[in-house]
Amino acid sequence: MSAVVDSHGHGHEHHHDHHGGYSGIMRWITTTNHKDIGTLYLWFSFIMFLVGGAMAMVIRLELFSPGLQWVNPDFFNQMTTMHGLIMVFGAIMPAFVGFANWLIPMQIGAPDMAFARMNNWSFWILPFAASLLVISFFMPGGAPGVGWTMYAPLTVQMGIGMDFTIFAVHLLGMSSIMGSINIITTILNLRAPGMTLMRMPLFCWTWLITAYLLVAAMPVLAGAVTMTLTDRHFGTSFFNAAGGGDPVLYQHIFWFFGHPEVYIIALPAFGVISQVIPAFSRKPLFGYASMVYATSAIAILSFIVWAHHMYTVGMPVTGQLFFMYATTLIAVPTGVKVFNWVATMWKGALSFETPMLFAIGFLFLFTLGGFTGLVLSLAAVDIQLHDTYYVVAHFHYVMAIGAVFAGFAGIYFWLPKWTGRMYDEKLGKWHFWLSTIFINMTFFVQHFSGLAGMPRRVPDYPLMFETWNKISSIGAFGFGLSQFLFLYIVLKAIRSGEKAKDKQWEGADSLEWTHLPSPAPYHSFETQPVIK
Amino acid sequence: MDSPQREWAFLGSSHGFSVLLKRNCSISPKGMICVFAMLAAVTLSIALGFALAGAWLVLPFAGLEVVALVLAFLWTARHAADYERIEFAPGRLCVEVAEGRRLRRHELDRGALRARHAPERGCVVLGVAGAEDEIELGRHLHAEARSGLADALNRTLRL
Ligand code: HEM
Ligand SMILES: [Cu+2]
Repeated sequence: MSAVVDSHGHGHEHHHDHHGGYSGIMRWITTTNHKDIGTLYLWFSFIMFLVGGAMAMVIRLELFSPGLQWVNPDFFNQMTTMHGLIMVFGAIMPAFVGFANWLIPMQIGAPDMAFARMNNWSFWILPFAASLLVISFFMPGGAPGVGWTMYAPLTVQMGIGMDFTIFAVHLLGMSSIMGSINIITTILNLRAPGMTLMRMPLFCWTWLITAYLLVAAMPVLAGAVTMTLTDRHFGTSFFNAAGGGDPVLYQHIFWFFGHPEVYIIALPAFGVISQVIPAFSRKPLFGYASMVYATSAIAILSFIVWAHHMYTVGMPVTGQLFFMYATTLIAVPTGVKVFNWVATMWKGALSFETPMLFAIGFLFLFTLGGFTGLVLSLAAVDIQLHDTYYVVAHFHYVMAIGAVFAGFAGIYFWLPKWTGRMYDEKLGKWHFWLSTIFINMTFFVQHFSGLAGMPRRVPDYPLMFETWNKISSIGAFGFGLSQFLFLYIVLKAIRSGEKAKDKQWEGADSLEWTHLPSPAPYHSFETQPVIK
Repeated sequence: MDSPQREWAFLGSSHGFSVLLKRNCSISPKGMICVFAMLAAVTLSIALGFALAGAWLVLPFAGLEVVALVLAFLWTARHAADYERIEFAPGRLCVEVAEGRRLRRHELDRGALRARHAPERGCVVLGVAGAEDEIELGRHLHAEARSGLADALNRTLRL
């Protein structure tokens, strides 16, 4: 007769004192606790959101009126470049890695991430990378003004700020790869007994697939910026036509990384939405399995559509057709997802607390961004719209509204679990409505200026675009200011929020709600729950 | 919620029972190899494609990543199969400890044997009072479960 006692192995380095023996700032620097690290990621992301947002305010200020008013064109270009890089790599990606750190171990019933120490490094690389980006402004020639896509041959002509940016991108990539390996290992190896893959909350699934995407795409980005570096300083001519290289090759490499990257941002957002909508519909997610397959399909397709960013570069008609059909194909699994979210709400006992409002906002606005994506995927149309404000509107609907709204939905949703305190529901609703109105003011009109032909990445424009730009700028200022309300709501909740219930949302059914108190204890699931 | 009470299988019996303590691994090392190998293959073939197109500097980064994947795999796999088996036989206690590549077997006289929870060492120490030789057990358990294991062992040893 024998019995098997399952238990995790975390062996010797186990600390039972509360915070690994350090206090104050050292606690945060040395922490290997997934909840601490999740918190660090989220605050870092919010700070970057403010920094990148400040740059957006400069951009919108300059574009408030035609003509040059506030900044010189060179600085304007530096602003657009750094705004893009900081928002993508500094704000949105770390925000979802923060969610991953907090939630994945709790949702699969694991005590922590698989590589706790490496987790600490993954985070602490980020502040260095961000500092490099910011320091580049103070280098001779300033920050690079090449656009977040860092196209050659312009990158070859930039000052030393470009090298800082390249190094920053390397660091960010390293952090992402370590994070991904950690997430993959955690999800595959540390699930509690009974937590089969197909029982995992969808958030874990979307992150598993995102981590695969990161592992596949990041070396390509690292290679792209390294070749830029060697072209700049070591006499190679990968992208330099004068030396026999090919600048278009850079675009292929960048977008081979770049399009998967947009799904690296979008998939975890889908994951958050897939937790929030069922909870407030008081129904299980409709079509769970099809969600998993749709997510995988999107991930695979995302590697064969990259040249839809390059229709105007010139390519054979067969190439245009291939990339056009492949791109429109992505709308199918995306449509499956949208259908499932709507079907989850269908005949549900809906209630509209702040997380649900943001989730529904996401549903409408992300889908709108998806539709403009379809418009742009048509090669013949894109030749007109490429590099206009229509594209700016498209990707802000999917990223600045889609991903950011999913982030807000997630923060309002899990804040009670993280802090043990509730946010102010009334203020949360204010935050939602202000954000929604202002962000649509900012970006919806850009469809019109884009269709009318206003090019992107320019500090000046003809008089005919003035009205749209004024509306857009006012919306942007309003959206920016509304985020201080968000900060206030979060701080108020942490300081003096009402005590949250263990299962704050009656429809929530993942382990962090059903098996853990609020706030979730510093160490949770040291003994696995058994999932029946 | 957290840390439920465990029931030790050999409680209340003096012999003929055993307990197996092992890590919770929800995927086998083989499964893990498959996943990581697939990732490495995808990364390397992408890099190879770019190398053929002239952008060979993607390759070293793909290589570095594969090294990272291999290290991560080795780290998890090395201890994936660790276990401790404790078996009660009439008059004796057999302990088998597998750790990494090593497998140690101990057969002990139950006579003066005592178990003690040693939080500072992160294990349960099994030995004869005053004697040098000690066996460390319960490394796969968290502290609370470890003290439970020590109690259960002592109770059973005294029977
Ligand atoms: C149905 C899904 C989608 C389709 C069909 C689609 C299609 C496109 C196309 C054709 C372009 C190129 C436009 C041009 O430069 O002329 C584009 C640009 C872009 N898309 Fe999407 N897209 C989709 C979803 C997304 C998502 C989910 C994201 C991010 C979360 C995203 C982010 C971007 C970005 C950042 C750009 C602009 C890149 C730049 O030039 O700086 N897209 N999209
Ligand atoms: Cu794309």
